[in-house]
Amino acid sequence: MRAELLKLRLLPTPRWSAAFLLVTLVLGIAATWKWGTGLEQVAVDLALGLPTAIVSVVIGAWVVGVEYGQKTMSRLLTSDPRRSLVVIRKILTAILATAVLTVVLYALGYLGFAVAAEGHGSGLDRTLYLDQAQVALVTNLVYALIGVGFALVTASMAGGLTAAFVFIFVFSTFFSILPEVGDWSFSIALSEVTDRILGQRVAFDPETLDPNSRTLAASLGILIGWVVLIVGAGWIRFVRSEGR
Amino acid sequence: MTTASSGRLAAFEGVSKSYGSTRALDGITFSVPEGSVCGLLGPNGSGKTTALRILLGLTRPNEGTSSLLGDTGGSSRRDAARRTGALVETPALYERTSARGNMVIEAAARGLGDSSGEIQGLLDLVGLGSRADDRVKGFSLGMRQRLGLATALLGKPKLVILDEPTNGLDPAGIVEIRELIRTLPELGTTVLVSSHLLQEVQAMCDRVVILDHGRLVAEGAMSEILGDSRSAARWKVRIDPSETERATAALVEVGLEVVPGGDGILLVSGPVSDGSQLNVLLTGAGIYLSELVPEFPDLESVFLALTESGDDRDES
Repeated sequence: MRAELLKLRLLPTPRWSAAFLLVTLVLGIAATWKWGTGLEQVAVDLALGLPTAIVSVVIGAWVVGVEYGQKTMSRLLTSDPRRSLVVIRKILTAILATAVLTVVLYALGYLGFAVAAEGHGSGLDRTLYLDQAQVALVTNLVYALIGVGFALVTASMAGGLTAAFVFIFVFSTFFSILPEVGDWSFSIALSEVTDRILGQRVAFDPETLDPNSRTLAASLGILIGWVVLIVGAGWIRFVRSEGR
Repeated sequence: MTTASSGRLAAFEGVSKSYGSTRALDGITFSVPEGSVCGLLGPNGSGKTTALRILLGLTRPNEGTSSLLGDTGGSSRRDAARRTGALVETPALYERTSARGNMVIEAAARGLGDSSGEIQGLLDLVGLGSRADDRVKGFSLGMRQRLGLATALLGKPKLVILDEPTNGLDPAGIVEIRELIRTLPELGTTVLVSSHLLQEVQAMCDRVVILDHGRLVAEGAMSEILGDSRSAARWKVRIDPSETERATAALVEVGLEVVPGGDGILLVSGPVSDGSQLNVLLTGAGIYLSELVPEFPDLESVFLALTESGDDRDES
């Protein structure tokens, strides 16, 4: 695990990703200072939610894909031939990196957005901000795992990134609009989970939710099913591969 | 764990591996004794890299077993891997960090703890001490090989497995690395090295394993491998050019093969164990030698004879 954390520190992709996120955070705070946070604090979503989601996919795919990109997978497996443990370490690294990145950035942003929003209306809605942070944390962790899974499936950094983005933003959206089966899509399940986080706190009155809608457990079950399917496929492929 | 007790740090027992219809390894059995520098030789496609990958657990054999430091794949395989250094195929390095960064990552991956002193020492040993903090991206192939070798030597491994370690090195670098490899057994590290450079293998190895088309065709101490073929040694004999015909007749009469080399030179081959036999034979016929030079086969000629070099082959 220490070697994986060292790679995060010593190799440039995580550093560039963190720098990119800091820039979007500063831009978001600057925009808030000028125009306010916008409807339902859209500035927070644009400055932190969307960028951290993108970077989470990148980090997830990178944690695995860097070994294929640098052709270091053989060396890694020479150091420890227990392949399932290698996968577990990669997953834990992606989860840890994504969680730390999301929590630290939202913590930094909390103060910045609060100060920047002071001159606009009622300022920053702190409760909504915390809900947005929770939504980002859940979404980002799921996206990072999707990145890990597709990098393992494709045995490639570029392939993993492309497949993960296509799955999240194209395939899943397309699947979600299909009649009857659409409700089982990844994106519907994820939005149901995140809506619950927002709905139970601020954005919606829980009583207005559709009483026929699925329970949170059912939505979580579908979401976890998709993640297990993708990561599991990658895991099996990796364990059975020649490790090049 | 059994390592020194068995005296074999790496072993193959009837190992076969096929890729589709291609037989990469065909029931090979050999071992690497502790304290040796063992050369693994074979033409392209003979199965050398496949054998090394099986030993390191990167590829699974279809039949047979391999063991590393006495472990055949059980729970202590991790410990065996930790005590084994490897440089397989091209050096696998993280290009966008420094030489030192690569070694720090490798040390952590092998659970070696704080190795900063050892890392600097190894970088100095392979001649990269002054480039330790430079990015690998700017390194030449030879520098990458050196770094790969330094990385493989981290943690004072019991066994180090090197695949073409002198690839890309200049002549001085080859000599330097060869000398380094030769000293490793004195430091407690046994070496299994694959190479195409037969003269290099002959110069640095005390054992040799030769593969051809996935089959083991020779294994043993270097002196045995070369010694086994000494009955086929050739002798260069120089005599008075006017005596060439008479000398040829005398030699052929006792069953030797003679090829005239011109200017009084005869190239004699056959069952001659000692040059004095030729001397006595020709002197007895009244022919006096001005030169008698034994031409024993080197590893290259043995290798070519054993592997029928020139066949069409695929990369393994």
